[in-house]
Amino acid sequence: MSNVSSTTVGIEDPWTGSKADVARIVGVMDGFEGEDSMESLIPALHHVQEHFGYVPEAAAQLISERWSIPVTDIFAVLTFYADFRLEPQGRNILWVCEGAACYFMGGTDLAHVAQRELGVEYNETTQDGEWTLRRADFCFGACQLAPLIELNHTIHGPLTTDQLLHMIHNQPAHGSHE
Amino acid sequence: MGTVSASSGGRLEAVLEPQVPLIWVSADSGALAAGAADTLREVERVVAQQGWNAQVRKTGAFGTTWLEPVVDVHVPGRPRITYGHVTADKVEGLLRSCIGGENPRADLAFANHGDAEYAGIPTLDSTDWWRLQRRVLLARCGYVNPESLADYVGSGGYTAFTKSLLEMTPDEVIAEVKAANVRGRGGAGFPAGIKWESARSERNFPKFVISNSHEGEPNVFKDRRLMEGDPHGMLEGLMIATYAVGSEAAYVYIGSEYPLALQRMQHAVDDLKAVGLLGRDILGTGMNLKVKVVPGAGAYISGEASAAIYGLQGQRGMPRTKPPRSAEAGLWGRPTVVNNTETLANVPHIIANGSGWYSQVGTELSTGTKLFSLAGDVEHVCLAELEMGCTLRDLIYTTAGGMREGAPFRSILAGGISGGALPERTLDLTNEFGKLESEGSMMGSGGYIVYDEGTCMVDLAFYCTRFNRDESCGKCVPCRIGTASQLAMLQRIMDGAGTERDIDRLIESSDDIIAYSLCGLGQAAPVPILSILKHYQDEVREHVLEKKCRAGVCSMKFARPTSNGVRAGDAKDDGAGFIRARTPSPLPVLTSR
Repeated sequence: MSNVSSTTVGIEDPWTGSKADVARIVGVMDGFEGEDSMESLIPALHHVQEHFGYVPEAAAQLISERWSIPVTDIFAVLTFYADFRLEPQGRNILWVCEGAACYFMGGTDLAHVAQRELGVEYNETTQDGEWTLRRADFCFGACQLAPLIELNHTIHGPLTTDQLLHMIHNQPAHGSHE
Repeated sequence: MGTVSASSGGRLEAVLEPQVPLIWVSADSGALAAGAADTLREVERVVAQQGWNAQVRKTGAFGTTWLEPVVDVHVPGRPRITYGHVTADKVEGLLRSCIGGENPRADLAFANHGDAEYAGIPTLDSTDWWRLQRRVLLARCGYVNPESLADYVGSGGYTAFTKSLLEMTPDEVIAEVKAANVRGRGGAGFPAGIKWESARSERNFPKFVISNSHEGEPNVFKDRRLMEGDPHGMLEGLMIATYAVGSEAAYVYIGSEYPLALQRMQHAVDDLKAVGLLGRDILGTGMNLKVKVVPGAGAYISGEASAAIYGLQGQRGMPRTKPPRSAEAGLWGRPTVVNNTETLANVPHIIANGSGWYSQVGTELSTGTKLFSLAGDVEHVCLAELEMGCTLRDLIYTTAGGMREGAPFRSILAGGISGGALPERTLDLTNEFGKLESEGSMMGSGGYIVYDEGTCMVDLAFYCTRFNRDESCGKCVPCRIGTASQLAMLQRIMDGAGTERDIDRLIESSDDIIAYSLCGLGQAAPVPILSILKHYQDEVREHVLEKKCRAGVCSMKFARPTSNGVRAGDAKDDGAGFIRARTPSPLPVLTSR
C-alpha cells in the first residue's frame, strides 16, 4: 500500500493556525473557567486532541500563556502519557489489541498482517496519510471478542487475518478522520 | 421496583411482575462492542412498528459477556428470560415469538429468572455461571438503567448515605467500616477504614477523597463494568467516605480508555447535583460536596495512588517515596483518601446492613465478596461476583464454564500482569488476600486470564515483562533498566540462544528489581517471571537445553522472520530494548502505547 514514513508527507495537518483554530483552543479553556488550571490541563489537552487528532505545539503554547503554566510542564505531560500525540495522525486509526488474552489468541498474527500490509510499524503512519497503526495493551473490556481490533472507534472481533485484510482493503479512501 | 436485599444473597427483587412487557437491552461497553447498539435500535423499531404496549430499557454489567449482545424479555405472567447472542437480525423473530406470540424461544434463551424451569428454559440459579455467585455489588446490574437515578433510588439507593449523614457521626461510620474490615480491592488489600481514620485525624484542611477508577490493566474489566452498570453504587460509597473523613471535594479518576464509564459517571454526578444530593448544604445538614470526574491519559502507572494524584494535579504520573502516605499528604499536599472503585462500592452495603452482616460474608481475614473478570481460553468469558474464599477451580470450571472446547488447562495468570502464573495443582487455593502468595501469585484486582496448552510459558513471561517495561515510569533504575534487560534475556531464550546462565540472571535481577523499586509496579514486575520459573521451569529449560518450544509458539514465530530477522509483532524487542529506549522518539518508548 505505502511505504514507511518517518516524515509527515501526505498527512493533512488539521491545525492551520487560523483564527477558528485558535478560537477553538480558547473555547476549550473557557470551558474550564472557575476550575484549577493544573487540574484542568490534562482534560483540556484531551479536548484539543479530540478535535485535531493530536496536540499542536501552538495549542500547547497558547494554553501555557493563558493559564501561566510553563510550556515545559505541558510537554512533560504530553510526552509522559501515551494518549497524547505530537504529530498529525492518519485518517484511519487501527488499534490491534495486544491484551493478555488477545496476544495469545491470535492478536500477534493480526499485528503481523497489519504491519506487512500497511508497511508500517506500531505508532507509524503510512506515507499517504491513510493509516496509523497502534498497539493496545490496555483493555477494551471486550475480551469475549478476542482477538480484536478497533478501527476508527469501532471494535471488531473475533477476527481472522483474512478478515482484517478484507477490512483494510475495503476501507474507503480518505475515510473521515475522527 | 423492589429493594436490593443484599442479605438475601443476590438478586434484585425487581423481578416483580411487570404491568406491561419489559425488554431490557444490555448496553455496556462490552455489549456495544458486540453490536448492542444495533440490537437496541432494532428492538425500539420493532416495538414501535408492532404498536405493542411494551417498555424498552437499557441496562448493563449483568456479567454474561460471552452471550453479548444480551436481551431480557419479561412478559407479565411469565418469568423474565435472558437471551444471548441477540444480534439485530434476530430481534424481530425473537420479539414476535415471545411478545407477539406465545413461544418463549428456548432455542435462544440462556436462563429464566423465576423459581422453576419454564418451557424447557433452566432457572438462572441452576446455571453454572450463576450458581456460585453472591451478588452484592452487582445486585442491580442487569436490573436497573445505569443512567436512571430513579432506578437506583427506587431499589434502595442512597439510603446508606442518608443514614450516615442523618443518623451517624463520622466516627461511627469509620468504626463500622473498620469493623467490617473491608480491604482494598485494587490489589494491595489495605483496610479502607484505617485509611479513613488516619485522614480524619489529620489537622490539615481541606481534605480530599479519590476513587481510583484507573483500572488500566489488560483483561481487567470489573471496575469498568461496575461503573457502566451501576455508577451510583460506587458514588454512594464515595459520598459516605467524604462525610466520614470531612472532605468537601472528591474525584473520580477514570482511565481515558473507558469513555462510556466516564460518560455514565458524569451523568450520575449531574443527576445528583440536580436533586441536591451534591452541592451545598446537602439535605439541610450543612454538608457541602463537589465531585469531579477526571480522565487519565493512558498510563498504566496512573493506577498507583501517588501517580494518580500527580495525574489529577496535571503532572507526570511518577510514584513517589512513602511516607508520607496519601492520607497524610496527598492531593495538593492535603490529607487524601484513595480507594478503589470496588472498595467504595462495598461501603453502602456495609452501612445499610451493618458490619456484622458484612463480616459473615467471605472469610475471616478477607471479608465480603470479590468481583472477577475471567478471560482467555475459557468457555464463558464473563464478569462475576463470588464470596471471598471461592477456589480458582470454582472460577474456571464452574463460573467460566471450563476450558474452551475442552482444551487441556495450562495456566491461570492470577492478579493480572502484576500477578503470577499458576499450574493445575494449585487450583484448589482460595481467593483471599495473602493466599495465592504462597505459590507466588496474588488475587490482585481479580482479573484472571486462563491459558490452554497452546500457550508457551516463556512467551507469557515475555509478554508480562514487555508490558511492565513499557509501562515503567522510568523513575527507578532497577525497574526501568531491569525489565528491559530481562526482556532481552527472555528474547534470547525464545530465540533458542538462551543459556542456563540466563535463567540464573533472571532470578538474580528479579530480586534486585523487587528490592529496589519504589512502587507496586516495579515490585511486582518480576513476579510473572519468578512464578513461571517456579512452576514451569522444565518448560523454560527445554527452550534453553533442547531448543524446543513444546507449545510450538517460539519456533513458529521464527519460521516467519520479518525483513530484519526479528520476531514478528515486536520488531523493536531485538534484545537491545534498554538501548532502544534511549533513542530519540516523538513519544518515549516508556509510554509507547
